[in-house]
Amino acid sequence: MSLPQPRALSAGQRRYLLALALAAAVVFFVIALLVQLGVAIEAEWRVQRVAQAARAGALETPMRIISLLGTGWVLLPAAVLGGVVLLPRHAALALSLVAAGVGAAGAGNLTKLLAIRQRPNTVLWAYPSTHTFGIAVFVVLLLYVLWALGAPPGRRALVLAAGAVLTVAVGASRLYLNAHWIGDVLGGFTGGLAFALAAVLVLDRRLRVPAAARGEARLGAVAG
Amino acid sequence: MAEACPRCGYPAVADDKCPQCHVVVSLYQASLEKLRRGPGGSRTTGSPAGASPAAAPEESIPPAPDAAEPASTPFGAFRAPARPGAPAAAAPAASASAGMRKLRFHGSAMGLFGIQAINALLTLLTLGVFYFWAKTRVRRYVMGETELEGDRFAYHGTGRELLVGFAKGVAVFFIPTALLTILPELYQAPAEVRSSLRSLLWLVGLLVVPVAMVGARRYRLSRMSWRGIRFSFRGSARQFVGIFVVGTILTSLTLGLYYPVFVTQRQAFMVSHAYFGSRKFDFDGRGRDLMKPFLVMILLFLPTLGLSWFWFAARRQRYFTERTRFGATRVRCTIAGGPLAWLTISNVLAIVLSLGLLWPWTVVRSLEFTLRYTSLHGPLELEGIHQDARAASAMGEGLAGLLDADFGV
Repeated sequence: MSLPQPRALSAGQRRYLLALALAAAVVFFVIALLVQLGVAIEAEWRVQRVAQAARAGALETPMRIISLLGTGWVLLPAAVLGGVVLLPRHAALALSLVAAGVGAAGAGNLTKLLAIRQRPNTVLWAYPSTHTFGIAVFVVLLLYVLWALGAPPGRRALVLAAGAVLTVAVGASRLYLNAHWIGDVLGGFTGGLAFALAAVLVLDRRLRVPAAARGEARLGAVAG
Repeated sequence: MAEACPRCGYPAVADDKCPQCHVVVSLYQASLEKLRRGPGGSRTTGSPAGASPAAAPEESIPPAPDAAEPASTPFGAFRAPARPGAPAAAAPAASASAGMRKLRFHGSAMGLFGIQAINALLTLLTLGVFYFWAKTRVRRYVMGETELEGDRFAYHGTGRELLVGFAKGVAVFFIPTALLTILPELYQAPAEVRSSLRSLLWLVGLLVVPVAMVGARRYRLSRMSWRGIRFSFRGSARQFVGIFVVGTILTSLTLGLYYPVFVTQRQAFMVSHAYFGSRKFDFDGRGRDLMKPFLVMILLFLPTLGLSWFWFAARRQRYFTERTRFGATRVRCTIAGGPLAWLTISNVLAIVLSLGLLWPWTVVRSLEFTLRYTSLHGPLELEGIHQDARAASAMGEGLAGLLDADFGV
């Protein structure tokens, strides 16, 4: 019995996502430039002051746990777990998602080479926040999978709301823990969004070509 | 009322000094605030209001000691997270109690390679203009990855400053020198005039080199900070020109025998005019102490095919380091000639054989090498230090760049 293929994006949707990805990437690079030049340091300092003023003993552990949710230690196993669940029915989608997760981990780290600056706690590699980058990628890819597999709109809206809250919470935890400036968090969010949308476009392109056709093309190439 | 230490979390700090990590709480908080102000702090000159160490900021940030970022390199972002509640200053506290402190370098060759790759790309794309920002990025990386007592150093210089300094250097030195070299040839000036001009240029060069050295030192130290307190250099260029000119002439006249005295005088000048905040460094070395090792090096130079130089260089570095003091803190160095020779020769080979690709590896390796053999002894005594930053232009740095000399300052 053949299983239903994941939904493909329409041409309009692809154009919209491409525009959004480009806009997010531009904002990401603009923030990187501002960060490198130290243009907004006073504003960032003000935000940092507000975040640190909110520190309280009772919030320390919850904030650390929320922050942990944005690390590869949580996100990569979650991506692999999702891939394992999808594997029997949608092998291509499952493998592509895991590849996108690993790619996001690499990209998040590589983008740190763009701006060399210290965090509020003086440790290097402030921009962008890879925690925020990672959680943004995870949420967008999760939403895409739900949409592609035809999840009901209500469930998708719920995941969207939860994902937005989680992304903001991870970003806030990085500020709270004095590990990032606000510019780093915004950079992580926009960079993650750009990467995730680009990954969605690549995934969609890959999935819209039926596996059988790809196999035939390969055979044809070998025979030719 | 007793409060928790903002750095290590020690629960009850009765006075201003933490008994566990020995940090002075008010100074720590004040300096962290200044650090967080980032490049804006460079506008500060002289002793700003409230710069006293006791003048903690009204709204100081609790520095969240245990929020130390485990993901400290772009290639190690998924390391195990720090144990919640684990004081980040545990190791420094332990070393402090033992009376010895080590500088640590946390950087990696891969990290520096990545930075260099982007630098090379952007420098090509901007036809070389990005070079100054590239230089700044490398310095930021090196400083930001160097740690003492749990806190990183910071570099506040900007590419724009270097560009302006370079432009000034070109206008003041390069263009006149080029004109004085080219015009006599172009208009076929008499041989006497050309010869006089060459002598004049040699003299100008002799004067410009020390000015550039002092300027570069002044600029770089003014853009460095630790715990938010700026370093500075307050030596007069005129004084150093005297040392340099006399030293160069005497070294030439004595066929190099004056060299140990000359380099020691240079080192003394560079170190004893350096400050961290309001406290100066001291240097009590004498050139004659290096005379014997220098003569031994010369005697063994040919039989050892020049390798004796490394033993002298190691001896010189040990001597210079051990003669440096910062308050009650002494610096010790245990570099030996053999490892130094191996480091230098293997670095040169690596760069040549890899066509420069291994340059980041050699930089990181050299830094780790130096820091491995260097340690601070005695109490740091940071209590009396307050912010006392000095303004400095990057023109000396620009001149140093024009002369294609790092000067190691």
